Amino acid sequence: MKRILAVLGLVMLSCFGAIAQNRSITGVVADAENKGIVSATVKVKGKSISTITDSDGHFAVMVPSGKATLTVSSIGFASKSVDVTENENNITVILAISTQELGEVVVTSLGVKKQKRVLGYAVGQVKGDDLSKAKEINLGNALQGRVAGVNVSGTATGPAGSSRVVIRGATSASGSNQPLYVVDGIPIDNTQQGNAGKWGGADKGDGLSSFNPDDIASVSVMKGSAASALYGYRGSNGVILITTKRGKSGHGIGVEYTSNYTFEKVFKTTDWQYVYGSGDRGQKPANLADAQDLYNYSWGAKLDGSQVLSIDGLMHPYSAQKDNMKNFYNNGTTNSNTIALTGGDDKINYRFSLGNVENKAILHNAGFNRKNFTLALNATPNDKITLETNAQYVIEGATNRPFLSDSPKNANLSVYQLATNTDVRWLQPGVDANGFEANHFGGNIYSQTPYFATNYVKNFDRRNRFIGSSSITYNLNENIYAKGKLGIDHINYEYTDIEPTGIAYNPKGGMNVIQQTRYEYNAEGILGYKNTFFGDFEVNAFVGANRQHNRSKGISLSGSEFIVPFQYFYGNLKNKSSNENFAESEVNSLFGSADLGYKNLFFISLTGREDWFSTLSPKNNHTFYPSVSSSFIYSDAVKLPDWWSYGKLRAGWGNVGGALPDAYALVLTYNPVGQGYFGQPLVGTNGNTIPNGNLQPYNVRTIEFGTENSFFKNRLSLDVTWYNKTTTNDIADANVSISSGYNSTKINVGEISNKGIELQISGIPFKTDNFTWNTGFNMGYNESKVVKLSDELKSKTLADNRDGNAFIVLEEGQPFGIIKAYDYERNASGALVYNPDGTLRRGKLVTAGKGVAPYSLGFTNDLSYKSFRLSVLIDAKFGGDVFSSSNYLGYRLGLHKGTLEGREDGIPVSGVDVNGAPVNVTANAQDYWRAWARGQTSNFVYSSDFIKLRSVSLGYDFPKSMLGKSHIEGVNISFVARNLLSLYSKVPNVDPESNYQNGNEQGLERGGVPVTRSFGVNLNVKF
Amino acid sequence: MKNNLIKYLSAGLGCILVLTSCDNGFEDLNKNPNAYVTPDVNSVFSLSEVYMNGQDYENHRANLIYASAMVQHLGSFAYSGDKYAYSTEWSGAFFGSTYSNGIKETSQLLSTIPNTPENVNKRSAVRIMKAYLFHRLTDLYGDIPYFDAGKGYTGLILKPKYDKQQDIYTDLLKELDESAQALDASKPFFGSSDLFYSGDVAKWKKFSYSMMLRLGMRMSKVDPAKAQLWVGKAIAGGVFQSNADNVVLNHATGPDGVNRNPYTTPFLREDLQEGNGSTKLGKTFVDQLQNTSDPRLRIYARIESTGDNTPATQKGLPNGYTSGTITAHPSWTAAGIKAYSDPNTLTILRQDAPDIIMSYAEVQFLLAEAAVRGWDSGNAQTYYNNGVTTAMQMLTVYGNAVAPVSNVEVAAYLVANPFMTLGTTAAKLNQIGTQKWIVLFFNGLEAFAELRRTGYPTIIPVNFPGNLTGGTLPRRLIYDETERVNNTTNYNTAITQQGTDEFTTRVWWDKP
Repeated sequence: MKRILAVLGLVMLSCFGAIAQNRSITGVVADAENKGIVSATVKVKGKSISTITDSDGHFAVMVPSGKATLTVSSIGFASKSVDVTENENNITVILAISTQELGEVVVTSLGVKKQKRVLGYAVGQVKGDDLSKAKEINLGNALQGRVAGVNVSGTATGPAGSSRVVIRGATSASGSNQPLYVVDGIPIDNTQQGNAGKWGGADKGDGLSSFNPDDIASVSVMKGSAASALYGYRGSNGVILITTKRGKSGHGIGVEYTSNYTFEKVFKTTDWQYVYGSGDRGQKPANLADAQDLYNYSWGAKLDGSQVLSIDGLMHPYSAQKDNMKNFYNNGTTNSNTIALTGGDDKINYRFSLGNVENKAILHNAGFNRKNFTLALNATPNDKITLETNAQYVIEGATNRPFLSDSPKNANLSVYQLATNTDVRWLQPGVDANGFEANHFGGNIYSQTPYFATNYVKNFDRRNRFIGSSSITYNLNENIYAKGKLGIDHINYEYTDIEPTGIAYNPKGGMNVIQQTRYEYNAEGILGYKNTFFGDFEVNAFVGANRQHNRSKGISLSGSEFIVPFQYFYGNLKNKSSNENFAESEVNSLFGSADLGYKNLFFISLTGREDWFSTLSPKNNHTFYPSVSSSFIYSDAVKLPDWWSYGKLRAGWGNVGGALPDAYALVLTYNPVGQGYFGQPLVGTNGNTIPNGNLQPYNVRTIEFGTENSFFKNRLSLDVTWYNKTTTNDIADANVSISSGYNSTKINVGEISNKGIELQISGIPFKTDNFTWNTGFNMGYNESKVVKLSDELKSKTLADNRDGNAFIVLEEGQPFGIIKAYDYERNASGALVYNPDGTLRRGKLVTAGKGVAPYSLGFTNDLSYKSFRLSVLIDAKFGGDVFSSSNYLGYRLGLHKGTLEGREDGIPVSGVDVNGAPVNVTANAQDYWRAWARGQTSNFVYSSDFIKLRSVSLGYDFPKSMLGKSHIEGVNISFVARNLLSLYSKVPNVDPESNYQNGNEQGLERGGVPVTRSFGVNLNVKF
Repeated sequence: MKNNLIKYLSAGLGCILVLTSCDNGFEDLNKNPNAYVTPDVNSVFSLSEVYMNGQDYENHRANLIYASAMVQHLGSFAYSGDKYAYSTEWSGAFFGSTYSNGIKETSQLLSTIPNTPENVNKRSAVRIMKAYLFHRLTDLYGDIPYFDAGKGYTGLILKPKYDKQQDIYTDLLKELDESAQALDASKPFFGSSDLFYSGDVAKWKKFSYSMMLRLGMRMSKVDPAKAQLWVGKAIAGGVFQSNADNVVLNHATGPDGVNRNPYTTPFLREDLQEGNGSTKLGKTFVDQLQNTSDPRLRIYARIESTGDNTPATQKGLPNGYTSGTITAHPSWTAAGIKAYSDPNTLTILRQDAPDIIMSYAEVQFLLAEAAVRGWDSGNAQTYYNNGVTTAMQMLTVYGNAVAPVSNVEVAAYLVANPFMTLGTTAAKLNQIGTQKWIVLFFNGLEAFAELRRTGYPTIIPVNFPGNLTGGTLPRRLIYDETERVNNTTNYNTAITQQGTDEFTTRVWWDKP
C-alpha cells in the first residue's frame, strides 16, 4: 500500500515539474445554431494533446508556440480541422451535423479513443446527460433501455439495491455474468454484497451505487469479445467504460450547481378480492386465537361491516381494507445536489465537485445516502507531456435494507398477505408492553409483524471508497509516445445487522458485524507508435504491460442472545463467534494492439493479451487472448446514391475469458475445528470441495458482423449487428461421489451459446429553426442456449421459491435460466385427475417459462422547441416470464379475485380419480382453489413482458436575456419522472420487474418492495 | 531537454517496471496465510478420534432414528426405524457423513504421516480407526467403496468403485492384525493428543485385537472356519482386560457442537421435548430390564416430565405405533405420552455424557460366545459373569447423580439371572446376545449388526401398514441417494453383485 501511495505521489508531483514553451488556445465548439457542443474532442494535430469541451462547448488547450492545427470532433458531427495562427488565442469552431460519421471518436478498451469508422465491432454509447436525467442511485439501472443488447434488471428492494446488467446474454452457469466496469481507465469493484434467496435475506447492493451521475461525461459499452479483448480474462461479459467529466480552462472559475428533488410512490398495488374477509371455511374467526392464526386467511364470511374481534384484540368492522399498501408505505424522497467548480489556465485545468444524495425509501426507516468528492486534474506542462489525474472519494451508506422473499424480517410479505378486512395500521407500533414483537399472528412466529420489521429490525452499512488514477503521457516524437498509469479502487466496508430482543422467532436476538477492506490497483505502461506510410497506409499500434493486484481482508463477527436485552452491541452477546478472511492475488499481463488503415476506408485491427495468474498452478498459469476486427467504409469505395450518406461493414472476432479461480484453491488446507477438545486442539481439512489445480478461467469467443448506414444527410441512421457468442470450458461442479470424502470439485466443461441481433435506428424526423425532434430506437434480441453443463448433469437448479414449487433451472438444450413449475396430474389420456373431494392433484414438473427476456428495447425521443426540451424514454422487454409468489399466495390465502368463484355454491367438478373412476362432486371452493394453486404452479408463471414510460424530462432553459447582467450564465429547470406509466403488463397485482434476486436465478417474485414511480424537479444553474 | 526526457520516462514508466518486474512473490502470493497447508498431525488425529463414532447429524439419523429403533432400544411415533419406512435423507446420512468426516481425515492422515519406522505407532492407530469406521459402514450398508474411498484429493478418485464386503472384511482384519503387530511401545506416539488412551500403546494393541474379535465373530455364520481362526488370533494377541481398557470418548456441553455427545445432543434437541416428545425408551428394552429386576434401569430410564426414575413405574413405548394408534394399546393412560420413560437425562442422556465406543463387557460376551462355540477354551459362565458385572460397573462413567450399581446388586442379579450352563447352545447364545444388546444401548449400529448375525435377543418385528420389509427385521440401510446420481456405474455394479438396494437385502456375513 505504501508503495502504491509513493508511486501515486510521484506521478502527481511530476505534474508540477513542468517546463514548456507553450501557449493556450481557448475557444468554443458550437453547432450550426451556435449552441455549444458538449464533450467535443479538441486535438492538437500531430501531438497527443487533447481536451474535451464542457457543457457549453468551451475548451482550452495547450499548443506549442507557433502555428497549430486543431482537430475537433464530436459524436454526430463531422469532424473538422482548424488552422490557428501564432497570434490567435481564442477561436470558435462550428461543426456541421455529420453526414458520414467521419470523425466521431469513441472511447475503447484501455481508454484508447478511436475514430468510430475504424472499429470492426459494435460499441454502445450513452451520454452523461442521459444518465443524470435518470438520477438512478445505481448507475447500472440508468443504462436500461439505452443500448441495444444490454439487458438491465434491478431487484425489488428500492433504490439502494443492486443492478444486473447482462450484455448479449449470460456466458457462464456459475459466474456473475456482469460486465467489467472501468472508470477513467481503472477497473472498479462491483461485488454483490448480498442477495435474497429462498429463505429470505436482503439485497445489500453492489459497487455501482458509488457514482454521481452528474460527474459522468459518457459511457461506452464494449459488447463483444473483439471489443473487450484487451481486457483478456476479464472480458467475457463485456466491458463498460465510464468517463468522468474533465476540467476546462478560461473564464476564471466556473460553477455549476445541480439540484434534484424527487418523490417516490408505490407504482402498483395489489388488487385483491374484497368480498370475503378473514376466516376459514366461510366462517369469521370465532375468537382472538382464531383471528390471529388466520391473519393471512381470507376464506371467511362475506364482508358485512359487523363488529368482529380482530387480530389486534379489538373490535373492528368486518369490512374491506383496500389501502394497506398505500397506508403502510411512505412517500419516498430523494434529494441530490452537486456543485462543480471548473477552471484552469493554459497548462492545467481542473474540475472539482461535491455531490450529496439523501434518499428516504418508501419503507419506514430505510434509506440511502452518499457523498462524492471528485477531482479531475489535467496538465500539459509542455508539448511533450500530458498528465491526467482523477480522484473520487465516496462515502455511502444504507439503513435498513429491506429483507425480501421469505419471512422473517420481511415486512413486505406480511403486508401483501393480510386478510382483506385487516387494516395494517392496527398492527402499529409492532411491539407489546415489554418491547417484544407484538403477537398478532398467533403461533406463526416466522411471520413478521410489519411495523416490528421496519421499526426494530435493523441493519446498516457504510462504504468509504477511494478511486484514483494518475497517468503521464510522453511524446518522444511525432510517432512514438509512452504512457504510464497507476490506479486504485480502495474500499472500506462495514455492515451490521441486528435481530432485536423480542423478535418472535428468536426472542433473545442476535447480531452480525462485517468489516471488509479490499483494493485493486493496476499499474500500466504503454509504448505507442503511429505513422502514415506512402500516404495511404496508417498504422496506430501499441504494446504494454499491466499488473493487477487485488487484496481483501475482513473480519466477521456474529453472535446470539443479548445478555442485557435491548442493548445492541457485540460485547453484549452471550454466544459469540468470529472469523477472519483474507485473499490476495495478482495478474500480470502483456498486451499489444495494431490498427492498420488503408486510405481511410479499410481498417484492420489486431490485439493480443497474455495474462499470468497468481491463483493458478505455476505449471499452467497463463492464457492468450487474441482478437481481430475489420471495417470497410463502402460508401467511400463505391458510388452510392446521394441519399445514402454513409455505409460501413464491420466484422470482429475475439477470444476472452471469465471467472478467474479464487486464490488459495489449488491445495487442500486445514483449519482448527471448534475451540479444541479438553485442551487438545482439533484440526481438520477445509471444505468438501476437491481443490482442482488445473482449473482455468472459462473461455468466450464472439464473432460479429455489422453494418452502419446513414441516409438523407444523416437524418436517418441504421446500425445492425449479428453476433454469435460461444462459451467453452465453463466452470461447472463435477459430480463427485461422497465416498471420495468430498462432494464437489470444479472443472472446465460447460458450454453456453448466445446468438443475437442488435438494431439501432436514430433519426431527426423534424428540424426547423425552433423545433427539433431527435428520435432513437434500439433493440436487442438474444437467443441463449445451455449446450453442456457437465459430463453427467443435464440440468441444474439455480434457485427455487420458498414453497419449493417453482424452480429456476439450467437445462441442456434450453435457454439460460428457464422456469420450471408443476402441472396438474393427468392420466394416460391427458385428462385431469381429481381427488375424491374434487380437488386437483399435483403432477409433473414442466418447463413453464424463461427467466430472462430475450428481447429488450428502448425508444428515446428528444424534442426541443425554443427553450423547452422534452426527453422521453420508453423501454420494454419481451419474451421473458416470472413466477409470482404473490399471486400464488393470493390463491392459497383466498386473496386473489380468482378465488371468488364458487365460494357460495362450490365448484362442480366432473372427471376421473387416480384409478380412473369418475368423480362428479361439487368441490368446496377453499379446498378447490388451494389445491388448484398447489397443483399447477405453472399457473403463476406469467409473461413478464412490459412496456414502460421509463423516463420523462421536460426542461426549460432560461434565455440569456432573462438572466441579464448577473453572473449567472444559465438556468435550467426540468420536471423529471421515472416509471411514470406502465403501458403494457400482464402480471396481476405485482410489477413484472419485481424479481428479488440479482444473480443468474432470474424470474422469482416474492415479498419484494413494490416498484416505485418517482417524479420531481431538477434545477441546474451555472455561474 | 534530453535530461527531461529521461526524467519523465523514468518517472512514468519506471515505476511500472519496478512494479511489474519484481516477480519473485508472484507464486508465493497464492499461499493461504489463514490456513494450515501442512497440519499438525496430532491435532488431526484428535479430530479423527472425535469423528470415530460420528457426529450429531448422522447419529441422529442412522443410530437413533434407524438402528436403535429397529433393535427396539427406543420406540417412536416419528422414527422411520420404528416402522421400517424409508427416508432418503435419514437412511443415507451415515454413509455421506462417515466418508466426508472420519474416512476423509484418516485417509489424509495416512497420506500426511510419512511411512517411516518412527511413525509406526501413529500410522497403526490411524489404520485401526479407519478399520473401525469402515466396519461400521459396511455392516450397515454391505458392499461399499473401500479401497478407492477417501481419495478424492490424494488420488483424484472422484467415483470410487464398490468393493465386496467379503473383500473388505479380509482387508480390515489384515489391517487390524498388521497394526496390532506393528505397535511398538518404544516408538513415538500421539501422547495427550490421543483422547482415548493418552498415547498408551499397549491399550491400542488391545483395542486392535478386540476389534479383531468383534469382526472375526461377525463371520460366524458366513465362514465359521475363518471366524474361528480370527477369533483365536485375537484372543492370542490379547484383548481388553478390564473396564480400564474401554475406548471412551468424553464429551462436554460445549463450546462447540463437536464437543457434545453425538447421540444425546440431537435427542435432547429434537426428541425429548420435556417428556412430551414422540420418541421414548422402547417397551422391549424396559420390559427386559424390569422383568429381570435389572438395577441398571434406574440409570437408563427416567420419566422426564415427573423426574421419576423408580424402576417399577418405568414404561416403555411399544414399537410400530403412531400417536393415533397408541391410544388403543393397553399401556396408554390419560397421562399420555408423558408417562412413558425417556433415556435418563441425569446419566446417559446428558449432553456431556461419555460415549463408550467399545467395552470390556462386550469383549467378555464375545469371548463367552467363543467359549460356547468351542473356539475358546475359557469358561463361558466366567466370561458371562464378568461381562454382566463390568457392564453394570462401567455405567459409573455417567457419574453418580443416580446411585451406581453396587456389588451387592450385581451379585443379586447374577443369582436371579444365572448363566444357563446346562442350557442348549441356542439358549446360551440368547442369554449372551441379550446381555450384549443391553450393553450396546445407544450403540444402535453395533446392536443392529449383532441382532442380524445372531438373531438374539428375540425381537418381534413390527408390521406397520406400508412398511418396506413385509414386517420382517430390516437387514441393512439403503445407500445415500446421491450415489445413484454421482456414482451411477459403480452403484449399479454394487446392486448387481449384492442385490437390490433395499432394507431386505442381506449383507455378506448375514446368512439366514
